[in-house]
Amino acid sequence: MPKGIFPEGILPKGFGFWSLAFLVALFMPLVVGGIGFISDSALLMVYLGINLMWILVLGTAGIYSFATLAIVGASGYAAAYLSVRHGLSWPLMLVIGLLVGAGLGVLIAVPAIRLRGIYFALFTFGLAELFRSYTTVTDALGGAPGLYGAGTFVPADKIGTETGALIGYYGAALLVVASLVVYRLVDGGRLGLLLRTARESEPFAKALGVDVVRARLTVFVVSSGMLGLIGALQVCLYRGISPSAFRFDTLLLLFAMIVVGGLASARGVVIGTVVLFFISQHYLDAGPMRFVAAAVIMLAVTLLTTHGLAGVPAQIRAWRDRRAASSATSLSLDQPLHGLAKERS
Amino acid sequence: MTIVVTTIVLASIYSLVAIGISLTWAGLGFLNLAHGVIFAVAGYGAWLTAEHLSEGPVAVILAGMLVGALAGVFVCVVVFLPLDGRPNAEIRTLMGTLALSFLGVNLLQEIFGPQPKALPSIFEWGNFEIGNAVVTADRSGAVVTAVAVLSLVVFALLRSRVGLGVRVLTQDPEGAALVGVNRRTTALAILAVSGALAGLASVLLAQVFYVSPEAGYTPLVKGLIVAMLGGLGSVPGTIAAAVLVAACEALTSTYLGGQYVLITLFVLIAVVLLIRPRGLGGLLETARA
Repeated sequence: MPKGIFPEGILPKGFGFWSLAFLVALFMPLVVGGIGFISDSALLMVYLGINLMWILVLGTAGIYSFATLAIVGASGYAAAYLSVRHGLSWPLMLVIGLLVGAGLGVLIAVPAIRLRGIYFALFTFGLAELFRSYTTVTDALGGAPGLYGAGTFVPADKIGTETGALIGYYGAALLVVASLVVYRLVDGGRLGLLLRTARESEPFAKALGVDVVRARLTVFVVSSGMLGLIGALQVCLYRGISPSAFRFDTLLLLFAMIVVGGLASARGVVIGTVVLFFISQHYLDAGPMRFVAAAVIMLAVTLLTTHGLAGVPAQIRAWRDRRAASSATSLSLDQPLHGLAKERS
Repeated sequence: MTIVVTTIVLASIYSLVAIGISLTWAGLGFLNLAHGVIFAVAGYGAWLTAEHLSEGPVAVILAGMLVGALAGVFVCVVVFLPLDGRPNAEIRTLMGTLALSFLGVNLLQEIFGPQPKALPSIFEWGNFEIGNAVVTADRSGAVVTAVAVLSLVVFALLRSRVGLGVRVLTQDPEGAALVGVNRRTTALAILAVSGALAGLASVLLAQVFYVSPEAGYTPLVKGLIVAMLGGLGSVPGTIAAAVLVAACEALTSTYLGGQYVLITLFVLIAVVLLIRPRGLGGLLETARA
């Protein structure tokens, strides 16, 4: 039974899926067009980048961190503040985003060493709310309306046009490619192996001589740095930021995307993000009922699949193997007629 | 004195919500994110009763608790029972309750519309004063009812057969199975009781605020905070945490202003969790990570 479209061993695993995804990402905005669609696609790219970095922590390292949006937003705020108040140019904004993100990553990772599982989740859940209320009440950060007028990589004469939106989209898409590379390097490399060992059994990892604290700190800093970069890029896209960057619903939506797609695989993240993004945006002409539809899909996916949508092929394969195994021993499922007919006659 | 009164009122309502979350997590190992929707659904149940059946205080409170309990059982039957013991159950139940929560809020919007509904006032024995603080009827009523029902639940936990089962489950799921505690029926009982408590909290809170589809959101977040701060599974810890959180809120909104509540609350959480990583109760040091 071949496992994919292509015979195994000739092309790298997942080649078909990823080349299709890249082609769609490259040409879809050009083909469909329209500022609305292109800027929505750019937002989808931002979500994809965030989710890819999130599963490094949530999936590979197995740390229940919900600090994602807090890091993205805070780095975005740092970049926007320096740009609006001190005229920082956009390449420096991206650098600032990266640095602030990485710095926050260290700060958030320190309690992760002491707190476990659900308690760390609570701790990080609070962070986004903390930042949201802090930015709302701080006048220097623009208060509730937020900070606007930040620098951007879109040329000044193209802002507000379709070309400008396209430039923004490709900028965001480039960052997703970078996130994919980082994901692959960390998850597929030595660090990923160490983190998975520590996730499955911390005492065992320690007994092997794995420096668990250092491995977790590293993954936090790497993913948070990338998240900070994404935050700064988001500021470039929208030319500003407001406290709504820390919205709780967005965090839950992103989490739902990850889990629907299947935790701990880049492919799952892509599938889940695209599916839920499509439902949650205004493409479906179903009014408020589309949220009900999204909820039903989420419920169905959680009840029926063990590892999200991306795990469905493996689940079907396992089920088929089990069936084949049981029919081989009892002769009852695959060829019931032959077996029974002979016995009866 | 006002601060003390506010603290007591908030603490009693938070305890009602948080104990359900806490018991569900400790006993069954799943975090019920649909708790907020149960809260909202119970509020609507009480509102429907008040509109169509009777405005009597007992009827409204009982309707809220009953609808809450039914909603809890529904969550249990739809999400917990099919997934319990399956691969990846922990994250899938979390996800399933999150989905139910989306579903519930949006269905409530569809059915009842976004306008908030007001419940009739239940407690009508008038206001009185303690020191310089005026205690309104709804506040004193909330405290009295909450304390009475909570004592009942604690008594049931300590004395009844099912309560014993719940306590065994929170301490050791395998041991519970060995001594013949039925996990599934106990799960139904836990969720029914948590739902009823949330329903009661919903009716009590609706005396001050209104019933609306999103009414359950804040109680859910506060409930989660209190439950974890208290140490999941520990009833005394939860009540202590409820008092602590309520005091923090009352003090902050009096001296700093309402918009700073979340900030001070977060600092409080950080400090408590760094000193006691398993919460105040700290019961689950080894049982569950």
